[in-house]
Amino acid sequence: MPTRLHFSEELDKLQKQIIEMGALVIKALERSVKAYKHMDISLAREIITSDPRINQSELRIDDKCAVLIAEEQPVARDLRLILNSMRTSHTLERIADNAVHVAKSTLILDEENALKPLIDIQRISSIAIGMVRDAMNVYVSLDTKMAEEISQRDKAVDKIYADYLKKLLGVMEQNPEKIHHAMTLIFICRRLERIADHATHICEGTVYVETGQYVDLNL
Amino acid sequence: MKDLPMNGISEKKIKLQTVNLNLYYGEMRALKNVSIEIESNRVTAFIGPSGCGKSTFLKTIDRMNDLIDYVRIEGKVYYDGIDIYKDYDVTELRKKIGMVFQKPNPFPMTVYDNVAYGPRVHGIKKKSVLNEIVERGLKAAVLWDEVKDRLHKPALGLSGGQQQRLCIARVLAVEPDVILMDEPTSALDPISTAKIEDLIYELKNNYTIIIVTHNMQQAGRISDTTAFFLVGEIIEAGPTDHLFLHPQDKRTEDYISGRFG
Repeated sequence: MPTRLHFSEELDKLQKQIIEMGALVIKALERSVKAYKHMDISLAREIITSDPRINQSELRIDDKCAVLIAEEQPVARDLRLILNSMRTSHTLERIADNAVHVAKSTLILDEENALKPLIDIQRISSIAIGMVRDAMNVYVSLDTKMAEEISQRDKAVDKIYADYLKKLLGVMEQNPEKIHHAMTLIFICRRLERIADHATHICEGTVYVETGQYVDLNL
Repeated sequence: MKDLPMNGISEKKIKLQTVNLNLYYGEMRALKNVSIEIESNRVTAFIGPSGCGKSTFLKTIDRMNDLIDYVRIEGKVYYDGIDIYKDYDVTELRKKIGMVFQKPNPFPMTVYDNVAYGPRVHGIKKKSVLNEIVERGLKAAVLWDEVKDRLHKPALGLSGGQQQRLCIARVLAVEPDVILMDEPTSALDPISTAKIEDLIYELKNNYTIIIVTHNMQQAGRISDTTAFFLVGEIIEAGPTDHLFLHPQDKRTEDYISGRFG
């Protein structure tokens, strides 16, 4: 006979809250890249002003976890799931902060000395956002194999970032007037690279819930 | 391979050990091949559903089944390396291994006489010595301040929590080595429970404690090691913090998570 039905329902609700927060964060990410791509200033501003909503989600999840710990006194896997949910919401909030930074960078891009559109930012954002989306699926499914597979993609992101950095340093040496624009692009790229790292952290959390082991998937 | 250190102590000292312990109530096998080592100066908690053998195991350590005809015991129980069913006088054993029960059971006599009862049985008659033992026992059980002015009043007039601490003082008065506690706080309110738990924490400096509890959080709070019993078997035993966060057996996980159906 199943027991602790109420607690199980509350855990489901907690996971749903995380998924909803994840959806908000992914949307903010996609819009921040779109704003950069189309130099859409009003969209970039919208991302910045809507960030407090994501911050509120994190606080609500923290409260929910605190109540579950106090009232249900979870142990073992239940406790790991709750601890990981707190960690995941914190990580999502940091991902959203990166989306805000991309939007802010878009606002200060020096259009007069713009560099030709660089495909690397599109590639890195596409991989990073895909990693976050898949990490959210893994948060629910607790598929540790998938968690490892997602984390492997971070290597490609790191490579693009390193190559891009090298390329832009060369541009800056040759064209000092483009330093401002190039630096901003480096910041954007750096933010996207960090987002991929955060997606890996979410994957590591799911391995912890499932196995109780702390693993570093970012090797 | 050498055992891994537990809680930072590399050389663990074993106070009690059972090897392939089986106990039968007539045809019914209540303990099945129970092999466990109980560390000295540690609190070991036994958890498990009702009827799983926890209390039977405690009684076996204190030879409380000796007078029950239909009980048959196989296997070994060692106390300080000595086989208690072969080489130990039972009265001496009970002096070394004291027991506190679920329901406080003070004798219907004064507070003083309750604590002095054991020492008197063991031949101590001198008033000044008894006074000292009673005071020491009550102080160790953190009850002295509450009863020092009513030592010669009936023990049954004390509150439930005070009565249970009196029972612990009574055990301590005969200077045991090991204290067995069978759900010692299940009949107490949260404040009395907290006092007993604090007391257990203090007592482990000088005694080895085994506690049977149905309260998971209590096991988590006060024990260093936890063993999970199920249908007469130890399913899993290990450091408490590890067992409560990363149980290895699904049955342990289901039980401690309250999902045992």
